[in-house]
Amino acid sequence: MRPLSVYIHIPFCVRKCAYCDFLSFPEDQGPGEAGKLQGRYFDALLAETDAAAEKLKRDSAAAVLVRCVYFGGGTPSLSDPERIREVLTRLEERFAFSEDAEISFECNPGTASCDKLQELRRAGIGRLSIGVQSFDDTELQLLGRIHTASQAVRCFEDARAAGFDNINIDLMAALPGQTRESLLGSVRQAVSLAPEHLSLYSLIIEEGTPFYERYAGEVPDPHFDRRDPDRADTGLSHLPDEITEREMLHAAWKELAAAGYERYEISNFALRGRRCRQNLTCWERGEYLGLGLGAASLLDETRFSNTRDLHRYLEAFRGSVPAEEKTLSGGEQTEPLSRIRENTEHLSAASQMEEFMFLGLRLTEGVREERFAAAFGRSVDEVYGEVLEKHIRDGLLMRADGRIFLTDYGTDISNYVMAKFLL
Amino acid sequence: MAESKKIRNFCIVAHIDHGKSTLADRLIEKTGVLTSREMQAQVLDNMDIERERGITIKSQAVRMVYTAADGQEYILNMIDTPGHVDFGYEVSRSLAACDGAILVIDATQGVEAQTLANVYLALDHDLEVVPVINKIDLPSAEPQKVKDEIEDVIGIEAQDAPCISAKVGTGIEEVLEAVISRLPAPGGEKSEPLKALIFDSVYDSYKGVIVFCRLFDGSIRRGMPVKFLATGASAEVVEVGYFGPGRFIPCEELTAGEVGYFTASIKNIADTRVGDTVTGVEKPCAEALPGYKKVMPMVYCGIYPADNARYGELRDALEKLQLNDASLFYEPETSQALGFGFRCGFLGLLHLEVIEERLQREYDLDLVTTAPSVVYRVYKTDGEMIELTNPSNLPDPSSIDYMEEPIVSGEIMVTTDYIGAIMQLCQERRGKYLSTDYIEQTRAVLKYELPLNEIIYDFFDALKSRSRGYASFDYEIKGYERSNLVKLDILINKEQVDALSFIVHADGAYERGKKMCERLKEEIPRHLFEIPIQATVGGRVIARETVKAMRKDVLAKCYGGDITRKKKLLEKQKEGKKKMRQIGSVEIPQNAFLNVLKLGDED
Repeated sequence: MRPLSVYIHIPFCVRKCAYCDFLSFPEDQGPGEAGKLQGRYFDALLAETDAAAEKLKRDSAAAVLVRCVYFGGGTPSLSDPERIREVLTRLEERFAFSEDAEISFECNPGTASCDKLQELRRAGIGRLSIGVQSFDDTELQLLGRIHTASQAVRCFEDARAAGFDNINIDLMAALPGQTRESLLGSVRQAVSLAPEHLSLYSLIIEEGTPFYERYAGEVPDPHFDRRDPDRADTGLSHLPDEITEREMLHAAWKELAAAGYERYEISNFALRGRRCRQNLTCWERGEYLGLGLGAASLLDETRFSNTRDLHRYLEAFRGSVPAEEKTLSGGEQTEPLSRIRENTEHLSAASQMEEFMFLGLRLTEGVREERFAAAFGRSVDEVYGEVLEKHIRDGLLMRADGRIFLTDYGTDISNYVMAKFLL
Repeated sequence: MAESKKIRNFCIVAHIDHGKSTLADRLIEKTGVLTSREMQAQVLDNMDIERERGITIKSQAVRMVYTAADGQEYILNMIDTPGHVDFGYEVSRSLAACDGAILVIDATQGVEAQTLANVYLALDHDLEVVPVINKIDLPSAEPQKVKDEIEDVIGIEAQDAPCISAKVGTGIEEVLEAVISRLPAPGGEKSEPLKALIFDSVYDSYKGVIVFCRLFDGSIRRGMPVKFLATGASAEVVEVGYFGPGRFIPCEELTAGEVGYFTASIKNIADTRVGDTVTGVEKPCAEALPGYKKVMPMVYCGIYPADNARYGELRDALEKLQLNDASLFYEPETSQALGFGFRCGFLGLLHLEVIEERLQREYDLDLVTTAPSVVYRVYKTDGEMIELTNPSNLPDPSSIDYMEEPIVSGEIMVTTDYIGAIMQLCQERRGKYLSTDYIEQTRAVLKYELPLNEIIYDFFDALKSRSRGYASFDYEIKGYERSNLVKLDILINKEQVDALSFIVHADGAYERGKKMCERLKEEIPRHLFEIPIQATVGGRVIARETVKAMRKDVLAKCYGGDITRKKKLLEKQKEGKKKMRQIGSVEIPQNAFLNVLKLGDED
């Protein structure tokens, strides 16, 4: 059997948050009437599922076994649960699922009513990821979130009531104006709700976002100790400086560890046995199939992603015959995929090794030397001996129990370390 | 062989950007040597760098045939001269090969400092000068005003100067007619012993050195033994010919008044120095042509291969460049910081930049360049005098009696609005004010004596920025003067970096040291530890900065769709690391060595 993770992208939001650079459209900005557009999107998603399943079946000797499905966005919780059920049903018709398959779903507290959560649960969603970001209303407002802290708490309670026993809470650190205390406040509030999983991301100021316009000048250059003349003049230094940022983050890590949450990746925490399968797939270089606008895939050591052009995506599957009336040959059915799949990159052995290292090192337990040897037929020392030795000496990496992993300082400057593993 | 009264030998002189090369192109096009389709713009500027920067580095010559209004066919030899003060001596030799000059003046700019300098140079060589007003197609052109200015400032008749647009191609015929009617035919006697002036030479791997020369007397033909008066070398002529555009056209013989080339299986370009006189071995001329001097490099710097393994390639490249450029000097040197490289001598900073660029482009070498330095004279207490080309070699201060530095006399032409700003600049650069001469109500020539080491870095840029581009500058070396100089050393993480040491006037040491430290702080990437940067004079720290340790370089999110992007980010990071130099435990980007020296005007 060939294990597979499936990622499904839902690119619609009530409105765009000020920091977000994900591929999504605010409802009121989509071309044409929103409801109708979403309807067409789900039709296309179903057609893509059919086509992708057909293509996988044709290209693969081993039968595929889906171990997890992840609905991400955008705001999946904005969608009609009925359509989510349809997609899941279609996936189950097309693919074999493992018995314990993990079905995750991203949810914005401002869009998830009690009823909707129950419907989603009934549709087969088993794991809910709630985008809380902060339990401080001022911070939420600044981020441009559509919900308040109390709505987030209610959403969590509703989810529990609806029967979700595997819930993640997303939080953000290093927000403009955020203090160590306000961050710890949010962390404690999250802990008090006792989610199974928690993600704590340090804010990244992404180009093309309103935050970029506002704060780009304040972002410290990780590589150079330069004074930014603009920053000195504004007097509006909102972002925590890098030392404060690291301190507040480390304090939060400590708080979470004390509450029993293990930091298993740079930004992810879980109770025992509750690590997110979908995420692990990415870092361990398992295979994943991305469906929907802009979704990325790794199949047969080839990376590709779907078009980010909504119109193009919808057009590719327009007029696709619903599965029940299928009379098309396999070839005709998979043909639209060639119109949406882009940026195809066949990974060389060297690229695979690089990825193995820089993705694997994101995990707290790091990379397993025996897995490297098994995958590439060479020992990790043979390929990276010198780099390993230097960085262990510099206190950035450690080596124990057949694993290589980042130290705390190595984690703080992990890009610096990871860049050394490029061949 | 041509009748000498049907020959005109001339050059074009102009201030930079006044359109010299464009006019040269038009003349070539008009005389039908090449059609415009065959011509790449600016035929005479052969090197990529020349074309891109719009400057001429090597002298070039071209022979054109023109049927004038009088129905007669004339041979026009146009010699293009380098257009930069760095190459002043080459300019003077090119001018000496001519009988007349076309003076191109921009109708929108008028007379500039370089215009003056070049015209005086031409007049010094007894050249007849024909002014030409260019760029009359521009709306801001004021030809009449410029004509008056030429008469007032330069003192040559200009009312009937051709008004042309070389760019558009109008008035070109008029220029050619003026060349014929107003410039003299060459003199000289064919029957006299050979007397020819070398105005340039290039190296060809098959033919050896190709000597560019102007014959004043006698003739030169294949098989004739010739000798070079200054260098004493002799050789037998293999080929003579003249210059077609972009190629050499062999002919039987060159005679008095003609411009052309010869080859003589000469392997060493140093035997054929620009300015030297060529004569026959059997019937030598009585005396050499006047004006020969050996050019001495004025600016030195260390050039190192970024990758030490490519030292041999750098040596070969320098050797090849020197074949075509006798003024380039180099000798091996070693730096603790940079490894094995060469101390190279140049005519000036432009010459340095050109050589650096050619090494990078034509030989694909990554280079690290140290601070350019002038030649200081160090007088030791034991009476010995050292010419110091590398600051690192400065003897122990206790053994130094005193030091001297080269001084230039400079002329800055500037509109009166900016006189204050320019005077302040010269003051800051330790200039000694001599005089202000008003050319007209709104323009003046400021005369200063300036230390050469104050103008080799960024003086031109500062001049342009403080005058909004309106000031122009020309200088010549005046001599050496005693000066209170000290060696400034830079320590990075407590280790002295020899490549960053330089000589500076004691009064400016603190400012320079401070700026160097500030600049280095910006150029040195953060490491895992704090890096102190210190400037010292005689072991005493005069300035200090600190590069803070790396604190945070982490990507919070990395999921399925981010992986390709993440990899690109890491690749970029790795790419940056490649171009680093290890100094002790600190990695320094190679370009930092030059960047820290380019102290911006606003700093």
